[in-house]
Amino acid sequence: MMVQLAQQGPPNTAIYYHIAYTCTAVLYGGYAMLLWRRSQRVRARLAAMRGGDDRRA
Amino acid sequence: MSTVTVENRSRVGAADIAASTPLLPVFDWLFLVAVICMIAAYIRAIYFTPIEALQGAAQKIYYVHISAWLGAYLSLTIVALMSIVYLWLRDDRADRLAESAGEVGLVFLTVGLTTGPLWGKPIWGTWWTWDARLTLTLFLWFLTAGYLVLRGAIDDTAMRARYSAVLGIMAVLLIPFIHLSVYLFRTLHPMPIVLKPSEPSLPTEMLITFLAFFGACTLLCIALIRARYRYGLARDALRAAESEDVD
Repeated sequence: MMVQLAQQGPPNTAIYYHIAYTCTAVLYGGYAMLLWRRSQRVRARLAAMRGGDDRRA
Repeated sequence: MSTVTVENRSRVGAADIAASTPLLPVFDWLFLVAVICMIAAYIRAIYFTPIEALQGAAQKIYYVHISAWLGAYLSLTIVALMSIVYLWLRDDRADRLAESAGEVGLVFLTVGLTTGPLWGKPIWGTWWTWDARLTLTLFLWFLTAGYLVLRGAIDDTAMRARYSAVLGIMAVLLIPFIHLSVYLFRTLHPMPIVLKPSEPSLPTEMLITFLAFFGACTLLCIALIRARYRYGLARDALRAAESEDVD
């Protein structure tokens, strides 16, 4: 039994690391997308205030 | 030709602000570089880093977990420094940068608190335990969320900036306690294996992967704070223009 355990190698914990890496990418990417959408809304409202002219001083 | 910005709005009208605030792209080259570095770090960790003998593949969570926490610490340190600058100089730019760093910090804290239990479950046999480090990090998440909620609850600009600056400075004081908690208390959380006075205990291949993730996350943190700051600048210009319109 001891010899069999030694030959089995590291435990199969891959599912946890797959989920962790996916969650990380979703959280970072999701926040970036949220920020982009918020900025698009603000830009649209600013542009409307300018009367459609995207003037720069 | 001088640029009218939201910083000198006390001297110009709102229409000028709306007309002349430069609409800088929220995401630019820095964000692109950060994303490329993150993808490279992911590939390095998944395909070119060996699996640890005792913990199996779950040990690879170490790279995203620690780098997220370091990114959070960086963000909250910026919150505290900019809060001090605001209280000293009453400069709106410092407050805007503190707000930006606070929001990005909350994202990194969330990543840290998500990846931690995912690593803890296969290794410790439990998703969570109320040991010193985990409890303090949860407190830090609540404090950072509270910082953002406080900002949303106060309409007056100066009062909002002042009160949240105080909270931002208080929050960062938890960071040294979180780092030292594994030395001060008997905890389930392991001791540092890289951020310690002696040599790192990681094998070289793993250390390179850790440094790759650390660099990529730091770049991502800075890029997101910059993007959030630019969004804040445009939002403040819009608010100033709208309030002038109402008046």
